[in-house]
Amino acid sequence: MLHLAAILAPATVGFFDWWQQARNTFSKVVGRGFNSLVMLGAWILWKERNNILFNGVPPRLDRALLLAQEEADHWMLAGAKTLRGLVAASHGGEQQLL
Amino acid sequence: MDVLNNLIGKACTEGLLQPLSTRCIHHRVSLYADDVVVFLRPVASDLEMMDALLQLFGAAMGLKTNIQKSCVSPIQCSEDDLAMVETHFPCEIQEFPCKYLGLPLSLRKLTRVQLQPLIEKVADHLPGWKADLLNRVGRATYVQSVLTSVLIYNATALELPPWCLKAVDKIRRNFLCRGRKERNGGHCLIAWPKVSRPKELGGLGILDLQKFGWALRIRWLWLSKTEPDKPWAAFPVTTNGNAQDLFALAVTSTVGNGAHTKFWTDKWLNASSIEFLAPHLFAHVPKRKARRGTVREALMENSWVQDIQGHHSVAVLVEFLDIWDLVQEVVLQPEVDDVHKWKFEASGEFSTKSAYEAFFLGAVLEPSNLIWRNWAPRKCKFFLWLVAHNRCWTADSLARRGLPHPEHCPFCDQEDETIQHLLCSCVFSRQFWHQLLRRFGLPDVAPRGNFGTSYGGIL
Repeated sequence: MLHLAAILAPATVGFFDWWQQARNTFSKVVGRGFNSLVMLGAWILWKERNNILFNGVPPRLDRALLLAQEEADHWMLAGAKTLRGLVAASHGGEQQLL
Repeated sequence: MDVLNNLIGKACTEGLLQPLSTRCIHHRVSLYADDVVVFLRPVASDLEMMDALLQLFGAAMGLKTNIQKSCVSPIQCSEDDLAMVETHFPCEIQEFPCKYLGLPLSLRKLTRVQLQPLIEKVADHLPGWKADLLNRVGRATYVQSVLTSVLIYNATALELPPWCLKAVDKIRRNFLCRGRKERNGGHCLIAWPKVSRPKELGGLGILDLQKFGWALRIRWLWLSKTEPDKPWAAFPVTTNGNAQDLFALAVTSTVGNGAHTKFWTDKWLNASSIEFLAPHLFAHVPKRKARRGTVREALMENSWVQDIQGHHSVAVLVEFLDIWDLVQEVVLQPEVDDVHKWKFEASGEFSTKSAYEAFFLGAVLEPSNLIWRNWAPRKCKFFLWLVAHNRCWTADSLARRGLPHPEHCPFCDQEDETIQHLLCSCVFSRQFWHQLLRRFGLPDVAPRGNFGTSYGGIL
């Protein structure tokens, strides 16, 4: 079982420590997708930070998430199989739940 | 090569060509593709003979010599000699440090002037206006695959001096930082020694020229061990001490007939060398004998015992008895060749890559190896690499350099902005991660902890 509390970064732990710990809770295949996703997330946060600082837009979570979703779509088009695996797995999981 | 070499060899043994020097020189000709170099004495009979030989060779093989395109380089010749040569071979005269197969040939260590063209060659590969269109990642790739690989051929053949490597490093570094040859300092985000480490060790995977040069030149040691019949095997190849040490460490030999295994220094006795097994005993063996003696020679009527000289202490005698016992068990197989194994490759064959990596053995792995193994655009990986080294221009880094910087984190406007805060401890980014992971189905399998309820109001 995966524990969400363990995955989400505690305030005191560094980014890479969190990444490493969270990565270790996943299987090899899911972990690869997770790694890509973390890189994507970090990249989006950095872009969003620059957007806020240099273009003076207010911080909005939904915009950041939208950007992340778009970027992820681009990555998947460009061949990020591990990310696609995550998406496929999550859809499969939902169907099972239904 | 063989035909011309045999022709000239035959002429030498028949006494038609005068010997080059009193010292034993095995080869006076080298032919690779259509590039040939011949060493001759400036004597009329020799020159005529060589002219005839070349014509004979041309008629037989179709590789005719074009005298107009050839050149003569006098090595310690007098003016009279030169004039005489000119009458026989009416071609261009070049000063001696000449080039053969793109490499400078010289009697002595290469000077700065002779190596300068090599550095200029690297600089010539810098892209002009295109450099501005490359981002840092593109430039890193360019440094690795163009600016570094230009050197490989030369670095294999020559032991490049430190100043030369430094000059090339300067070009590579400046290009990576700024996209051009010159730079005004302070533009490097990460110190060059760190950049030029392998990716697993927190670097950018750009080759360290010095270590790579050593690794390239270990190949000579390897070839002289495994293919001693090659024509150049008799040449003295100078390699750095570090390269020799790594080679001694990494090669183990399985003795067949013992002809190509050194008795004292090679690792052949229980995958260890006698030098290592019996250091006191080895200290009593003269250097020259330790370097030369093969297993076959040493085991012939136990002649290795005669190599040991001087007064023997108890330690030496004890080691001697141990080695004696070990050596008595060895049985040579005359029809089986020695097999040498390179430790760092599964196949046992030498590879420069494994040798280069071996120079970093024992270094501490860094978390940044999470970055490189996974799918992401290179620019993202590069960014995360900067994060791993804490080299992003966040408020704390800007403040340290006295540059204008934002007061607080732009997301939460509460705490100071550091890269760690920005990416994982900020409230905003924690929400972002939670949502993002949920969208990709990762927390779906996780229990609904207190996270959802406590932050639910904000969402």
